[in-house]
Amino acid sequence: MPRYFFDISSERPDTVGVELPDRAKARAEAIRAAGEILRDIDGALSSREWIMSVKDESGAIILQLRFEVTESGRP
Amino acid sequence: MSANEEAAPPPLPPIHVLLARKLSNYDVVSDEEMRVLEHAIRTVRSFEPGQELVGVDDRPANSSILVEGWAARSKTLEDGGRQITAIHVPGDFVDLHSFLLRKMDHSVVAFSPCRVASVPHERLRAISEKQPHLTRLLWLNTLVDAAIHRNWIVAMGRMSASARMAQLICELYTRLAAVDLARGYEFEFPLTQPVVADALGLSLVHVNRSVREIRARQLIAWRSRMVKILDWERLVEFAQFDPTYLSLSKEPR
Repeated sequence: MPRYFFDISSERPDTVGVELPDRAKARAEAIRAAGEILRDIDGALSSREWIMSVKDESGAIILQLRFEVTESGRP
Repeated sequence: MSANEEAAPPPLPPIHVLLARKLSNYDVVSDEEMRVLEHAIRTVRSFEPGQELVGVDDRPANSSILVEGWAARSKTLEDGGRQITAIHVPGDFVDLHSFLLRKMDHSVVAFSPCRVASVPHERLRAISEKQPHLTRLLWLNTLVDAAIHRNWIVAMGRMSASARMAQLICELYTRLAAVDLARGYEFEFPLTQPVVADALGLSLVHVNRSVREIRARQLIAWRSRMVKILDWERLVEFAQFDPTYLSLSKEPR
């Protein structure tokens, strides 16, 4: 099975990765993991943007997930 | 026990001694009760990793004590997703509840080579009729199973993945040490990360990250099926581990 790597902005690159049958499964795993990781970050997300990049074995990015916090100014 | 003490794997005792050791964490087990336990155990069977000890919808005529190896209570959903609801180590009754529940609502699966001793339900019935104190200890045993489930629910509902991972390690070490099968803050951990992911209800990606985090914090080392706890106090604090739910205090029951 091919190995996919899940890098998160502001964290060290994922050097271990996870074996998954195909890109579709890697996409599903990324979305699920992103939800769990954001849940754990809770209210403590310090940056405005959080990005997960999924890479294949060649290091090419095959998918990116972005979570953006936009706050409007005080009225 | 100091962290750098040598951790030779302790030898496995006879089955009834292992079970008595487990129950004597709760209260004194008398010599007579020891004999009753010894008499209650019938066959011992072996299972390979992945094999079911008990299947969902089964109506077992025996309850099983894990003598060697690790097993887990598990439920598989229609889409193939699996949730592990309990992890069992030697000395555990994996399905004492099947004595009264009759029909299994989940399966019990081996996760390493296992040896399992059967206790026929008719003998459990005889114990419940003639041995009130021993019956209370067995009842307590199922209550502790329920307390462990409650603790898992709290962790799954409200704690971070890395704290849950840390808590699982604290719990398993404490349970193994209670039956004298682990010492020196080191133990064999035969579960793979995908199995841990099914136990914590998490994606493999997040489990890998959580393990990396606990390692980076110098709380544990995990290499080729061995987990070594590097700093018990800090691991306990990180996991918010309070062993009260394991009821490991010897008192009149």
